Amino acid sequence: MPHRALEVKIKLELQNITVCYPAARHSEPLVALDQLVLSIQIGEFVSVLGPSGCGKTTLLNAIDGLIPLTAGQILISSKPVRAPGTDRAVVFQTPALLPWRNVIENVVYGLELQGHDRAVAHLYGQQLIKLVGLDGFENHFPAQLSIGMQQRANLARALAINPDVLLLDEPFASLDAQTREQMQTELLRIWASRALQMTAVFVTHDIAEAILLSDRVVVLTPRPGRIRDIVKIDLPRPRDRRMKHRDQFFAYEEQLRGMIDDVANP
Amino acid sequence: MLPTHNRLLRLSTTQKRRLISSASVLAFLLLWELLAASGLVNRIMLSSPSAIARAAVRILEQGEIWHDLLISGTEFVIGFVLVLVVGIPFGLLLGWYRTFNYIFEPYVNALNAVPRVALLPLILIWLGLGIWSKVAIVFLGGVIPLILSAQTATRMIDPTLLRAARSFGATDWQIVRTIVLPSSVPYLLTGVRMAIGRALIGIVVGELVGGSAGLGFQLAVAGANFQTDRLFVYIFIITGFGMAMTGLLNRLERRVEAWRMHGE
Repeated sequence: MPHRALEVKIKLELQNITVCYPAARHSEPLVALDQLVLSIQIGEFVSVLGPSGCGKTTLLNAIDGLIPLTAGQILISSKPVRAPGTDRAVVFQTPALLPWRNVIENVVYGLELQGHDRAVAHLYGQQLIKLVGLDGFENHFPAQLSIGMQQRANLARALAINPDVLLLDEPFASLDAQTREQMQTELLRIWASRALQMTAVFVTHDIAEAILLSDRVVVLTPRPGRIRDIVKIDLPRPRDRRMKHRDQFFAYEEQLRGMIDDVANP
Repeated sequence: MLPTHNRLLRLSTTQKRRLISSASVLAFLLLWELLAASGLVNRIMLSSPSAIARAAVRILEQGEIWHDLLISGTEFVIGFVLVLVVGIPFGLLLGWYRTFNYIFEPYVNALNAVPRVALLPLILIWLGLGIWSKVAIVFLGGVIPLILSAQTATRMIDPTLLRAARSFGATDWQIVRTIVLPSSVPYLLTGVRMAIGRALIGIVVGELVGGSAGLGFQLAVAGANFQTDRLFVYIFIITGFGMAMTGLLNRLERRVEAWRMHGE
């Protein structure tokens, strides 16, 4: 666990980042993110929580290098982020799988773009398909899979490029409650099997989900997006869904719900 | 249920379709033959399936048909290859780059608005009566629907896929190869389907008006001599060619679009 390490290593650093969107006619430019400061350690799982419109997805896109910063900078392994790179991978809210490719071809898509050998990529892709519990579905097309299974493939595709930082943009938001819970458990299991190597930023508006998965939860305020508070989640790992019945869990839930209500209705 | 009904129902949908369609065509030919034999209608006007079959045998024996097929075929192939090579990239560029679109949109719109046949006299003056004037008219006819389909295709690309590709650090060319082209396929196939029709019109009209050989030219000759049976032979050849091309395209579509058929 990172907090037990003697020397804390920083993987991801947000240094006073501000993102403005250009103004629509006759109005002020929209400040999506306002001077965010945050350091995330190697192997840490951090959730970003906030009401809609607080710039959660903007933050993720900024870390991914898809949108330019108005001010400040983002450092990954002490190097500034300027464009998308192989050190990061995104799990999108919609599975965003290529519909004309079967599961294995989708999982190796990132590796293929990076010019990896096809045979090696397929071998590795196969392992990830197993990891996310899709073995036997390698040759299925996305349209033949449930949304939950598509989201597993989406996760496998992101993990395949072996990123230092995994960015997850409300990946379970479009799933039904039961599948969502299942996927949270799966993510905990996958995370446990890869901890210490990978750092995760998980965007969600589901409070319980954020507590269950994270080492720390960052609460953002809407318009402009500022950090309201950061809550350290001191629940032991490995975790599973039974964690949700602990008093400590309820306490975190109360605390975070209070903050969200606070920022949503100032 | 009656036993005969039962037997028909046990056939697969494809078999049933073929059976009923073939019966329909046979009945039509029979009716045509009977109507011609009855003498109710002028035989020169109507011809008859048997007369057409005899004319077809004569045409085959004379052997000139192969020359005409070669001429028309060459015009179609050269024209159509140009349609594909120019139409697809041009249409994609038109849809992708706004400035490119602003530059070329007026010409595409103008060419789309004018009946291509109206340009034929001009093209004949420029390129003469040989195959190149017909190649040009095939090209002009076919390229427009393909350009417009390719342009539409770029607007239909799922933006989340582009975002995913960019996030993986895809280069422009990789995005074209892995996202733009595959997602354009259904639109391009529709464009190609329309282009085949327009190209055939181009050949026939081009040779009718200003040809010295080819299927359209033979149509003109047979028409001028009131040889309705010969006329029908050439009409059927052109029809058959068009249907064969469309059939080929359907098979291609089923192959490349297999993923779409799954899961439905």
